[in-house]
Amino acid sequence: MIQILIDTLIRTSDLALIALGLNLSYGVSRFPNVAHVEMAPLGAAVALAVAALFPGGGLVGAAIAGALAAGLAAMLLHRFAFERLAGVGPASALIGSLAIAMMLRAGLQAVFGTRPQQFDTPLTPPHDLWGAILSDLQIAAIAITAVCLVGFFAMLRLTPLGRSIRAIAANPALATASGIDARRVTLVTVFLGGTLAGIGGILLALVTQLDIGMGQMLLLPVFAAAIVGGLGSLPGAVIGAFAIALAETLVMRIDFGLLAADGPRYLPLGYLTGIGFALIVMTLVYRPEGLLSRGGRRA
Amino acid sequence: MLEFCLHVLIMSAIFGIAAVSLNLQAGTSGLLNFGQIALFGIGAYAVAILTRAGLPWPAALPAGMAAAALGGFAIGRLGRDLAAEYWALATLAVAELVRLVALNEDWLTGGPQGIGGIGGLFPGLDGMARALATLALAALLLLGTALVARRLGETQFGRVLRLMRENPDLATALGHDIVTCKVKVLAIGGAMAGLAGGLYTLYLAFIGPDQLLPFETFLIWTMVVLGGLGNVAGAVVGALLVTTLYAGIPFLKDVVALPSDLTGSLRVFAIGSIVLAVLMLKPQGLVPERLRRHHAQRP
Repeated sequence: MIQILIDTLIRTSDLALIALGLNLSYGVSRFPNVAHVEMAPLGAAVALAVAALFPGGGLVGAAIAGALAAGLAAMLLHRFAFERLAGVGPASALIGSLAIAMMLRAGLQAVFGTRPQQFDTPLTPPHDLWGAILSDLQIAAIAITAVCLVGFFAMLRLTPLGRSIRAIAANPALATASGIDARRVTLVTVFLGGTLAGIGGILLALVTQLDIGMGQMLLLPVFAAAIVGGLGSLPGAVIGAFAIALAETLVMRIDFGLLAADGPRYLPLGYLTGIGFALIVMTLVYRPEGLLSRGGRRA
Repeated sequence: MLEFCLHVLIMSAIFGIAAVSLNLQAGTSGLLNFGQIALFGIGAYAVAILTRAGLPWPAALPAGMAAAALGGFAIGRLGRDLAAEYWALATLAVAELVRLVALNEDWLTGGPQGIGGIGGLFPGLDGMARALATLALAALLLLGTALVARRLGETQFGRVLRLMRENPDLATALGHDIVTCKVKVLAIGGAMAGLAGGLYTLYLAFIGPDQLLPFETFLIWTMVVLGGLGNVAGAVVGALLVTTLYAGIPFLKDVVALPSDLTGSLRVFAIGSIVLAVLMLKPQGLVPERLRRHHAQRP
């Protein structure tokens, strides 16, 4: 039981920051940016490269460099590609972001190679927490995710920048009329979204390994989290990530044989990745506006 | 060399059918189907399974089209009241689910190994004669598909589809049942995509889950976007150009010394940059949609 909770929390911390960044960017740019998830491997790859180049700099410095690089990349992409594409229409922006996602992945693969790599972290014995197994790195990843989430929502509620971001997400025309520089705040917001995704990717690479193809594997679970929570809804992204993580953990652990009473029967492991997809489809069919958002249904 | 050219032409014709199908959905009707490869795959697998069971290909091909049409019908029903971008994400998820089923249900689909050793087209002929006969068949079917798509665009139904693309609310207000239109066009598009998938399987005598990756959908999108959304001829031109380019890039390593894993990345990168360049510089594509004069005149 505890193990289920722990597994869910670990998976939530994989998804939450990236989904939050996605919804944050969606709120100001108003199209689902498929290339957003590629910021995760980008951040992790840069962090790994920095850690290799400056062995004395420590892991924290490398991680900060990686996260900032991811934010910068997201901002530049927005400035030089998506601003223009979004002007043509949301469909063009969607197709364009798919194109950019493919190009980023291909570029990363060409530069960093396809072989999975690992951060050089000390090996420590895992902890036994009321029967659940948990490593130091996993504890750290959950804690860092929690700190980032608290810090982010505090920023959003308490600072002038946070207020501007919320204003633009709620009503861009009114925000501009009130004297907010919408273009600048949008760029800053997209930077923050990219940075969050970069941190998420670095944590994922720390706990498991850096797989340059991680963006492809994250795409549907992260979008599932964002859609289940409600595209554009920030608390929704976190709740959605938890919902996806819980669903994935539970479905893998439920013994379907108990229902039919003919011995243990689990869902084949190959379908694990399908859970996110199935949840996307179900959410879109029954509650397209997501748990915490409005819109999405054609009028 | 001649054989290679024939191969590229046959593949162009097959993907041309898939591109005409996507153009009917996305270009004419404004339905952003990011799961096109699922319809292609349903046709491909249906033909593979039926020919393996002993059915001759002229009977298996229509059956594959019917199966894919049913798939299109289901996708259309599923997202009947979703906004365009949400529906696009739902189709992406459905395509991944179809691929997962193909990957995991070994008894039906052969699992990761796929289905090989399919009888194929024209077993009586060999070598060049067989390739020429295949090309003639594929070109004939492409011509038929293109004519059907073009005729459909000129009918009242086609006008309603374009109205649905431009202004769904107006279409509803004029008394058109949008859901029925959507489902119909997806079933027709599904049958065309299934035809392309079936031909593909028969030509290569193989189908596997790796042929159903989201990248393949993106490839078909590239053809349509490059050729020009909304124009049947554009889809065919796009299919020819993209297939030639995609098949030709690996030969670059004979000209410039490139490691072979880099050419893979380069191929993806090239396809991505084409889409991006077209979207940003010439969104209407190489062969823009031509509206008849009294359609084009706006007050």
